[in-house]
Amino acid sequence: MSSTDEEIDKALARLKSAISARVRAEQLRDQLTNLPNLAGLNEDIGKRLADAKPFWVAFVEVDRFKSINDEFTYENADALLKRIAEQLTTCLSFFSDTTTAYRAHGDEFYLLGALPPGIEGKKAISKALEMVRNNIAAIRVTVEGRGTMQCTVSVGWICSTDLPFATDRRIVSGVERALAEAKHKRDCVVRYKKSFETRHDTISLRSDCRKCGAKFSLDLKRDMNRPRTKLSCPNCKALIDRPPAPPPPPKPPATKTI
Amino acid sequence: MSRSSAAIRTSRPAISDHAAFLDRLSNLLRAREYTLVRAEFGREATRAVWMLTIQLPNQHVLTLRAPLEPSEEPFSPKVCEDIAKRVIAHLAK
Repeated sequence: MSSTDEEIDKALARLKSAISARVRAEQLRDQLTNLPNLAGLNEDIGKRLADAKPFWVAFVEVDRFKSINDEFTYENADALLKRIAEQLTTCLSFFSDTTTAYRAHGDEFYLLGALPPGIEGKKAISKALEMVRNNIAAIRVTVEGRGTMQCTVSVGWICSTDLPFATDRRIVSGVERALAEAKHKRDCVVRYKKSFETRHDTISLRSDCRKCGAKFSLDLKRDMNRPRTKLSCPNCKALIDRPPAPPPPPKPPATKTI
Repeated sequence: MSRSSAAIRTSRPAISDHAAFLDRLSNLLRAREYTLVRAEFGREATRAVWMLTIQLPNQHVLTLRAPLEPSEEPFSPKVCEDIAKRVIAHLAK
């Protein structure tokens, strides 16, 4: 092989490598906001899990975003999402240097960062997330002929140390539960608690009323299955038997340390 | 009994290091007729841990917890071989 051929091969290899890197970077980036996307978040959570240091993840979601879409059109709502992304990027200064903002899809944003040590570190994160929430609530985007767009956000967050065995899926599931709790209260910041795991479980009760014979179907929250809870037929209001207690969650298999 | 590596449920299938690690570990265990059913990588309070679910030749399934030292690279071939050795030594008891 001549030296010219070798040079061409090397140049082609460099070009191929540069294209691969560019494609990979595009795959990990959200086109609208230029923030890293869900794939980028998953990859970074994986890296953090392998690292020895604990970390936190926050899930930021816009409240009633559908109504903004409906009222101001999708194009204008996208402009609001861009402003939220810019605000989140600005707010990264509230946290440690390694904190990153992500846009998963739609109105769903994430923040991921290293957890400062001690209880004070967790308090600082919670306080900073409140500031993020306030800063986003202060955004105003004027749309000609339609008015001013503004929004509030709900924030759920979790520390890797909140889970006895933290994996990427458990972290994401935990932060989603915290966000569900925050959405329920609306426009607030909620940190994950173990009790969230059971709070939203429902028991489906399908039966016939003994008095009027009406068939009914009720979805009961687990909390309602306590002995004192009285349930009545939706048709004749006669008291009905309490549904049987739900089976306890299956015990995880005993693990042995090797 | 053998199982293709694609059938193994992983916690992070997107990362190639992770997939390569599982393929290697699965092959090392299969040589002893153990089947890797599931492997989850995560962290406990102070250290990274591999949680492995393994099926024995007699069809029994058990879960083993393999903690890693902070200095260990969790997806490296060295750690993979070390974990395979620990699993085989534990199951040989």
